Amino acid sequence: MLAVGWGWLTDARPSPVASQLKSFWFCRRHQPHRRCRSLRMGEFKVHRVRFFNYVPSGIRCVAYNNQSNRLAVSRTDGTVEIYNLSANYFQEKFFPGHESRATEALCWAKGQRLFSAGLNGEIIEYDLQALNIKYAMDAFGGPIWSMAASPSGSQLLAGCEDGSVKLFQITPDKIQFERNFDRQKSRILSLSWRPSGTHIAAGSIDYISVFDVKSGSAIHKMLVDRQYMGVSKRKCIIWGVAFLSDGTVISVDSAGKVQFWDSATGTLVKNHLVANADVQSIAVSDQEDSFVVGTAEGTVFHFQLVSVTSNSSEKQWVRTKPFQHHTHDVRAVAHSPTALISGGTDTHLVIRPLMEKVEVKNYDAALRKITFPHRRLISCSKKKQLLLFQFAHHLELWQLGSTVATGTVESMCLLAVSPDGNWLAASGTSAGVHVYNVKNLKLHCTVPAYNFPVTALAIAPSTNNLVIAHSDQQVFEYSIPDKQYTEWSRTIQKQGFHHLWLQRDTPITHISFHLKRPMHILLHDAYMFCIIDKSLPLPNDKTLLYNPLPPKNESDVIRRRTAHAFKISKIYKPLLFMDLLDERTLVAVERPLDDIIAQLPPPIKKKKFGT
Amino acid sequence: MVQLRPRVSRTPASASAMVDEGQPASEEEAEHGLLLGQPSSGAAAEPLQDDEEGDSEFDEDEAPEELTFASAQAEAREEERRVRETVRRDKALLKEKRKRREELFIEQKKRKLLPDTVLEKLTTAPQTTIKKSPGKLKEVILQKKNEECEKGSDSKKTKEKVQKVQSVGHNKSYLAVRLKDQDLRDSRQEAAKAFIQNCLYGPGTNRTTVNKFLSLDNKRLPVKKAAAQFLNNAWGTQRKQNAKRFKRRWMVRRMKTSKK
Repeated sequence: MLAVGWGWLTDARPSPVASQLKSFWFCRRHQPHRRCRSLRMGEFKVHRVRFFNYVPSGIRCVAYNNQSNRLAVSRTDGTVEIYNLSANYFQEKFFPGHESRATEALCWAKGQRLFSAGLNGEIIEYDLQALNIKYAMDAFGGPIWSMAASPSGSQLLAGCEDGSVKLFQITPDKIQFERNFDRQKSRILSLSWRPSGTHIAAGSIDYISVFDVKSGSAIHKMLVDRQYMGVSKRKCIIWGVAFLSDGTVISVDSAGKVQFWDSATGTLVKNHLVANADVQSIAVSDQEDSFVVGTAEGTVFHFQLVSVTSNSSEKQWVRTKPFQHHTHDVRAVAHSPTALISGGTDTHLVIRPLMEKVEVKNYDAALRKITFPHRRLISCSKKKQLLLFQFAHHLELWQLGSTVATGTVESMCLLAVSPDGNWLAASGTSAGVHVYNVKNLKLHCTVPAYNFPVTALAIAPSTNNLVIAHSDQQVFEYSIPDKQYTEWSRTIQKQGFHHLWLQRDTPITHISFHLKRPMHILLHDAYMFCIIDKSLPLPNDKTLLYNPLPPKNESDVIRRRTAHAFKISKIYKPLLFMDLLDERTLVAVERPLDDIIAQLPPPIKKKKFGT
Repeated sequence: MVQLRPRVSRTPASASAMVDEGQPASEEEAEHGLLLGQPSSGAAAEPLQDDEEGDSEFDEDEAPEELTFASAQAEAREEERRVRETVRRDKALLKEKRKRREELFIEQKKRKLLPDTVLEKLTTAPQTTIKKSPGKLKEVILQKKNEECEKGSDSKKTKEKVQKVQSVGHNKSYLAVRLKDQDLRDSRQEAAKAFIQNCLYGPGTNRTTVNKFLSLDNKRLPVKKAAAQFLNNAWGTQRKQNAKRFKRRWMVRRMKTSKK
């Protein structure tokens, strides 16, 4: 049942602080909904909110760091995110972006330093400890299209709009311009170092140049054929190059070709036509026996070096696997020792572990698709019935009444305040959650450190228990007044969580509590929400975790037997936020994927038979 | 035997006829005629007709007019001199004109410049780094009219330093930024963005709309469904607006007539 126009429009009195806050009437769709009986929590009214117009921006560059197993991802609006792949692919660091800092290239250098370069002509270094930008240095070559760090990690190469390739030396606190290589006629769109550090391949428009690093002069200029679907009118843009240690240069271009060149003679060795659209990215593994390319149609191809016949030593590059996990252009790919990583305009980050590289074939070897943010973008004020939506550049406050609240910007460190105002829990990039006493402003205690980062924090209203959720789906309950883990927490840690619980893809982003029922904890991730009833017995691996709706005529005995503490519902998904407003009301903010896709840029046309 | 029309006897025309009686229409024509040896007028040049009148003027027995080489030469030289004169005069006139325009421009430029006193102060001020007021720098944009401005902008290797100038008034501190740099940088960035937009989404790329993309699956289902966005609400907005206006006016008219 739809109740349209529920509430009333407040007279918009713009206050100086709230120039970006808007007042609207609350909830276009008020759908009273009865919760399923199997949850046994009683019935709630649910406000289903679907008007949070959250559209993530497309992924532009991806850079993998082998030493720390971390992935840096930069988006088209300038945000840079760092994912910790060993901590269950959790997004641990986040640098908010600005259009003027839109990146075109991202790379890691020696000592875990992250650099990016963009069309504003500046090279930016990020401070990963302080979570801000260290400095931005202008390269004076116009917009920078590509950047590559040397294999030793001490030099940086930038390919610019004016056709020059600039070499920078990485000093302990800054970077310093060293020299220019020979200037080329058109813009340098892609760069690659030879693993030995002696040569460089630079892809431009219609040709590829090979430079000698010592002298800085161009040794070869390899012309690329323009032919695209039989027509040679459009210029051929070399989107990516990769230099292998045996001297082979692999290039991918806008005509859909993957070509192998010999850099010693400057000639074409092999040509693979893989797509009808641009092939936009390439990444080679460290062992140089496989590489991955991404196309504009959303397909990712895996190439491997296999021997010609089973016992011969001669090897050749063969296209082995196609993956279609994206709908739009795949603009960035990376190759880790065990997985293929791809990201593009459709905003998903897809990590595909390679079966032959993975040792233990368990749930870890499945595909990971990261679509929704790992941070909470929505805050709810229960008393005032306010919802605060956090966008990239503005906040939207949806409310009843005419009070205007100032928006809070969520920082990387998670904060939680106890409802009675005495305690403050904070988790930052360092290990451990610190609890502070607000009254005397002193550190009260610290929850012992855990190697997986914290994804959500909350303090229960009456018992002042701190509930912590980690990225590996572990949930701890810590009693603040007693300074130790609670009994319930110890029990569940001893028994261990249900295996299906641990295999969930998305992290828990919000925890909240019921005012009158201290035994209940409400938490949710992107695809489910769950109420943990601490009074009920815990499920072991054999019991059914996701309770289906039991038939009404089933006897009470059976129901009691199968009841356990974790009541999970998957009705509302994909969920961005869920919270308890008051006794009988819940609010659920969903973001259907179709709504996001409808606002993305146009994809490549695919001709399907029969349409 | 066919009776042919008697041809006019082509007697060698008199010398005077060759030279042309009286002054020719232009001297150049005469010169030209002399040089080529073609009669510009005279019996040979005339069309076939009865020219008894022409004949009567000349006496065929008369000897051709005497024309010495010297006189012809003199005439030719005169001719050349006159031509040279005209060219010189033209050049002089053009030069004058250009000079006057230049002066005019300089005058206008001078009027636009800042008063000399301010310029002097700026150029003589030492080019040292200013003492930054703690934490903040005020940016004031000045346009410098010196020659130094023009020379640096083209070469790519010069690092265009932001010229920090000591304050004209001694209590303020500010930073002078060349506007030209910013414009150049912005235009390059715009050009780069336009380039990439053209590559990926411009003409020649095989792109389709999101609606069509999402509807492909619907079309291939066993039970065919409609497109993801079936209605185009933006269709015919002008017509709909006109219709609305017309309806309003019609209602008003209707009210008026019904009241009467």
